Amino acid sequence: MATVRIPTPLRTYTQNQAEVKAAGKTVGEVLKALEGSAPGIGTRLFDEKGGLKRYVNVFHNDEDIRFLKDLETPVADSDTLSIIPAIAGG
Amino acid sequence: MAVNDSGVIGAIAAHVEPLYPEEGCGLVFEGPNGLRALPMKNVYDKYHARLPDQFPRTNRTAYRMDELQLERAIEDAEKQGEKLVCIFHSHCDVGAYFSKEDSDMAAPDGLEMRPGLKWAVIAVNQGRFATYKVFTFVAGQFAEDESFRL
Repeated sequence: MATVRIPTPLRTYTQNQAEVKAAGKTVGEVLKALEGSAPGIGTRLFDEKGGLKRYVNVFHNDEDIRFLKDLETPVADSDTLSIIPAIAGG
Repeated sequence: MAVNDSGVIGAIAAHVEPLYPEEGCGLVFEGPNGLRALPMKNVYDKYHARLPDQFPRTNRTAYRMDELQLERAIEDAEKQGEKLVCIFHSHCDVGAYFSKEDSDMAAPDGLEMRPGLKWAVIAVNQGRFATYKVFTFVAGQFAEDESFRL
């Protein structure tokens, strides 16, 4: 299973765990699998169309998945995904 | 600048002025020696260049921190006994106000992503520091907070 790093504001969904394991062959599958151990977290990650919300960044190892294959990016068990809320604005 | 400013605003102004007419951004940590400003790279243009539909603005009217640089900076600071207390970014020729885009990104769905932080907006007019205002999320919205000075 891949390792997923959870940012502080979302640790309320993971019993304060900074890292959780989740299964899946793609980033999308892994993030959706999080919902099993962290119910409710999906509503903070995904928009109504199933894409990542604008303020959510997911890094596959050290690259933003938006610059890879987005939610279809393949994931190996040894991989780490980091969910990092954007600090951005206008 | 007000007389009770800590002096960090001078370092922030020195970072954002040369970036004009683009926006600059950074972090402010609080530690045993007071406040410390850490400039961060504005990577919005990188996103705009590759994903213009999702990121329609440019560095002129938007900012986005490099998230990995950000997380590492926070971890390094915490190891030194510092705590992230404030995020700053500049506005070019439009004044020090907290825009809807600022609010939507800082508290999407009305929920703060980084609870308790102060948000400083630095007004840069014609390339020169003009003023700044600090905002805090209170009762579901961002309001000016004069209790925190840079």
